[in-house]
Amino acid sequence: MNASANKQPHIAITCAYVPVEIISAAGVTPIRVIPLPRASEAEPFIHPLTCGYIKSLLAAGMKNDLSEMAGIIIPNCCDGMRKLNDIWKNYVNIPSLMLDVPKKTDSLSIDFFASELRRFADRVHQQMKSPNAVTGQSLALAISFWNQVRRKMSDAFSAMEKTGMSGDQYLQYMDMMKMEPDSMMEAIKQMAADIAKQTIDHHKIPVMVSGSLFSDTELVDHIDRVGGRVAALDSCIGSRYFNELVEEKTDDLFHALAKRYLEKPTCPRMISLSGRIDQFMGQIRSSGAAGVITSAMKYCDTAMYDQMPLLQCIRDAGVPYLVLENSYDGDMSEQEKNRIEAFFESLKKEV
Amino acid sequence: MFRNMLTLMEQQTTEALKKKTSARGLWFNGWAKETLAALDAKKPVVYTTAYAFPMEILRSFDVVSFDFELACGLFGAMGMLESILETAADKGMPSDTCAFHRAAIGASFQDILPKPNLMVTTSFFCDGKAKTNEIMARKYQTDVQYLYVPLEITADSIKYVKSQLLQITKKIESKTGQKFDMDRFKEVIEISNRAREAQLKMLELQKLSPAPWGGSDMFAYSISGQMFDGSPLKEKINQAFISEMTSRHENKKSHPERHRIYWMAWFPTYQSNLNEVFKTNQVSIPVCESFRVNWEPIDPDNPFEGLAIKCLKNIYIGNNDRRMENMDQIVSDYRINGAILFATPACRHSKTAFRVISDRFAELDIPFLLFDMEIGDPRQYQSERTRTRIEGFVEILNRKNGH
Repeated sequence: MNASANKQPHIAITCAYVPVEIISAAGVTPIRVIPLPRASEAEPFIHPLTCGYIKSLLAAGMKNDLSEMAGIIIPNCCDGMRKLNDIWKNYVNIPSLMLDVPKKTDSLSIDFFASELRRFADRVHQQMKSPNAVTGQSLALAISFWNQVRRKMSDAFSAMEKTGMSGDQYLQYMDMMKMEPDSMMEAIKQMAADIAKQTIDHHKIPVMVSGSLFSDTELVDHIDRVGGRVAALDSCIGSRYFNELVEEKTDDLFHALAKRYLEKPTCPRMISLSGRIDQFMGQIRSSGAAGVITSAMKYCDTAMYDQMPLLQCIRDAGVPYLVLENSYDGDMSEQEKNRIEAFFESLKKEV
Repeated sequence: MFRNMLTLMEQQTTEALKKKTSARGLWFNGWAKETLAALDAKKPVVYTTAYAFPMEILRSFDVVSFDFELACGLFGAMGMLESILETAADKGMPSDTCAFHRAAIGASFQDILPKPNLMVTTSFFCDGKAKTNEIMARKYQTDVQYLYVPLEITADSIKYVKSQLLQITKKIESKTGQKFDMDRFKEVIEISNRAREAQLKMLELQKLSPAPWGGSDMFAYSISGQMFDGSPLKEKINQAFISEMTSRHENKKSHPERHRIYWMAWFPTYQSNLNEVFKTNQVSIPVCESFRVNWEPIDPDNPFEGLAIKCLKNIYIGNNDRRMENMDQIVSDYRINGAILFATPACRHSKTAFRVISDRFAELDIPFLLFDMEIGDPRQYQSERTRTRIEGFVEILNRKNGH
């Protein structure tokens, strides 16, 4: 790994299932990557009918957007990410490591994932040439640190959802996720302080927004403009990313990590439809959302398959909803804006 | 209509088999019987992923298995797909998801499918199959047993898969009220091992020129034939194929061929002109990736571990390298002069990394075609487009081979 004299090397993290604690414990800084939308630039190397996030990640790798990264971790979130690793190894100069994450949360799966995490820790050191090998002590410290980050983030994010997030705030939040951990902590504190000064605008209609990797700040802004506020966000980089802590008082830290990562708020990639539905409906209720807007990323299979049963439950509960689709291209069409406006008009009549 | 068509299929194949044994007859007769038995539900019905989940375990119980993806192959042949897909769309299934899964969901809402007592599925080949199982389990208010198969073969992953197989076996016991019979299981394993030997023989015969099995049958059998794994019928079908292939070769009845293609991924399940275009252009498919044998015989004294390893070795799990393993040997053994990857829109796992595959074939100096065509939705089919693309590829092969 390349590292400047006093600076830890960086490794790119592409999904909430990558245990950042292990990477930190190895003396490497994990950096969440949310690539700029540039899917078409990857298309000679990846089939075009692949989600925009994966294509943009590949483009970022091939076009030197990630030149500061000493490596990248690609978990098997989905079929597309699994194949991204195959492509990456052949065409991108940044070393990649695939992490096998089971899709169930039973004890057999947690035990297996714990063994995979031990192997992962070795591979981060051996294959990615991290400065240090992961030890019990370094791992314990890393877990403690990241639990603190999660607590602060959870508080700040909940406050942001309560008062209603603006597009700028969401952009700030996403930028914060991409920071080095120490800077992230400072940024969270600042964000929390700013949010504490905000008041809830009770004239704005609260809605829940659901999307896989949801990076559409324009959508959040537009909701704000038409009289709504995002009261809950169901997304890979929302509360699913940082809710649930890792058990610290245990002899088996890898098992504790495996348990936390598999049992955290469920994402569409897990085979847990009932759990997902309960969590989704619970989020609608606890946030007081008057409606739901889904913005599924095109070709995101796991989210697309969940859509039908989730919408059925929303309909059965009598909750108004709007279904949108995005291509991870950062653009909202006028048609989509009109549909959102019409949706809020109908919500105003109901509320 | 589905039941009626299946009954007709069973009757016609039974009559045909009385006159002459044929591999296709046995195969379709068995398929019709198994599906009708699932509809009749006189035995517990287990939904499964027949081409991935070890069918040997189910064959050790007195149950009927049903694979809704394979049923879509029947829907295609029966002309039922359009209406079923419309039902799925009405229910909110996005059109960018796999046509097979939409068809299964649509069919379940039309009450065409048998009712499951239990569902078992796997993490391979794809995410969508497992998700579809969950959706249908919710509709039928039953359990899904999900076999997660890790990406790499390690002592821990073998232990994990084996433990899950044992757990699933216990679940089948509790759902069916039947006790798992280890002796019967061992017999089933022996049958499976013999079927494997026969499959190797079939692959050996395919090295002949012209290939005695030239079109899409091998591909179709490589997937749907697995529903008979562990049953005496599988042995019978394989032996019948061997006999027919041998006879075809000895009597010079194999279709003439100019080009021999390595086929990757799938084949459309509705009526299309693909086979006709291949025949007209003297293109044969001596080998497809889904028919290759990459597992060892299962040890009957350690069957669960053997099956776990067989699952872990599946070429559609893990790295793309598995699909291209020993490709230079295959190209040489089968005298392959072209490769086609069938790319149906929603099949992310089989086509996303096509470039890696095409570059590997380029290293072997084998022309490669990424052939975008819908597998299960006949509304997306365009016959002239199919013809143009395949004939364009054949022109490349002709030029390369001096035809």
